[in-house]
Amino acid sequence: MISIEEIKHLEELSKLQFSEEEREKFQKEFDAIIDFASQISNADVDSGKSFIKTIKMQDLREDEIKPSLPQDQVILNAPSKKKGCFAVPKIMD
Amino acid sequence: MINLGVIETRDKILAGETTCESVVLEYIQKIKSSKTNAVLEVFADAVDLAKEMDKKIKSGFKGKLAGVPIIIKDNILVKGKHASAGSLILKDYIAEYTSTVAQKLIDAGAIIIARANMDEFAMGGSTETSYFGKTLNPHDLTRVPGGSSGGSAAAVAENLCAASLGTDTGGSIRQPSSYCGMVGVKPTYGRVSRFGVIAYASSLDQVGPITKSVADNALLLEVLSGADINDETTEHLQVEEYTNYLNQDIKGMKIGVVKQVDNITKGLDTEKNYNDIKTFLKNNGADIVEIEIPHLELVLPVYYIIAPAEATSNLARYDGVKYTRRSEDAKNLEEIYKKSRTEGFGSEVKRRIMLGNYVLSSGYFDAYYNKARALQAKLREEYLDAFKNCDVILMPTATGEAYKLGAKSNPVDAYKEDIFTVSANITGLPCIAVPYGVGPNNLPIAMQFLAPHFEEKRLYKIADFVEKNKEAK
Repeated sequence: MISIEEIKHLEELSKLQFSEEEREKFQKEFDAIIDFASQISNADVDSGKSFIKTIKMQDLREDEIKPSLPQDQVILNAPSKKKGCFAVPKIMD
Repeated sequence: MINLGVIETRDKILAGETTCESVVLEYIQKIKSSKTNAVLEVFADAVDLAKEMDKKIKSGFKGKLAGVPIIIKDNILVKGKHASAGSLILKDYIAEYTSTVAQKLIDAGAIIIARANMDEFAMGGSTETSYFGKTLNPHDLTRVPGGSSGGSAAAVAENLCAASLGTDTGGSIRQPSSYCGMVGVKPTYGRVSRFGVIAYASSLDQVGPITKSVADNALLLEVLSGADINDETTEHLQVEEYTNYLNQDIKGMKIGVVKQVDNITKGLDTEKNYNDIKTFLKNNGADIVEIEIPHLELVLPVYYIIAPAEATSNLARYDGVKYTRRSEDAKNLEEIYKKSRTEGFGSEVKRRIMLGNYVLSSGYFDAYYNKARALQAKLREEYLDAFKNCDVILMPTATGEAYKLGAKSNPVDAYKEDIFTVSANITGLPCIAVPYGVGPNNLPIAMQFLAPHFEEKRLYKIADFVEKNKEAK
């Protein structure tokens, strides 16, 4: 069974925060999901061989300067902005 | 007018029998009285755009979708309009630019009248996980419309638009099409651009049409397909005129049926429809060829490892800094991230982000993620091998008809519903869901056909035949 400590670690990686109650509920559900995913463990396949689409050179665009989204559009949806930038609280003293 | 599909609507408008404006007004009226919650928002400029379109048509415009009212899923961007992916975290988000698919619709003359409800970030198969409330199935209001493109499928079925767009990462166009009695296509990976579409799992996501008929679907995919400089995964292949492959004979066509699918289907509500269509195809001169996909039963765990892994990365961008919603309690940067995400995401989205981080974390990466990618390669190989002996592969879309609201509250039970749909995403193959008969409660059920990569024309050929001849048996 996945431990509460492991769940807390996953919360940290996911930048999420669960209450004690949610954590316990999640623990049960998550175990069932992991069991379900673990069906693949017995499959006999070469793990080195995975399918990845390779970029073909002709797919690359010309390296031309073109207008991109204007700054005011880029920050249009920001909850906090200052002087054309995304604004966040001070991170250093 | 609002019972008509894409082609009929366009032809009547072009022939002057009606106007785009009056059709759009009629749809908006119908949306206002709808009780299914399929539509989240009617776009304020729809009527003005329709008036402009009428002028354009008068001066000779004859676009493939001239005047046709279309609804798009809530994860497809149109500049200046809301797109929320069914999530609180994007509730107030306004698109900064227009997606390639929306632009293609507009250029062809379509009027995008509204946006449709969906499972939050397209994670789900019932449209019950939307922050904006569940959508009901128009055929039976006590049942789900399917998902995640449940709003899009319900909207077409309820005659709230002539056709709609959905997105499909693991069956999200085809399964709701089955539950709502519509035709849904997930195109080949790389056939349609995803630029301006809110991402879920980028190696699996595709945009596709949901329509009342196969012919409408073929026409829409002609419009939507093609290479896009803004989506590197799109292929530089000529777009075929899919509508040229309608009204054809299927004599001698080789239909692959998968041994493993036959086994899974036994005892399911969909079994009768599956067996009936095999007989129907045989009676009409097609050859039924038995094939094997030895690893088919592992496709679901493979999907539920790869999709959350990619979702984890794609959803990292919702950090309370760039997109609209920041927690009011947050005092520092770390709290902005954590609290904004904790408040903004629903439980299914959180579950998949956590699962993604689990399978990607050190110690588990090889056992889950790498193994799943290797199995993905294997499955792809098995499907491509199978196509050496057949032209298309037949299988059910869902395990049965639309289920009751709230019936699949256990996540693993809900995931198991996707057994027939995820193969197309895991392999990148194109796939069509076309209605074939009804289930025990008289509700629609669709069958699926898969074709080799970029062979959508085969799907339209066989599905069009099924649609037009199924009554004759």
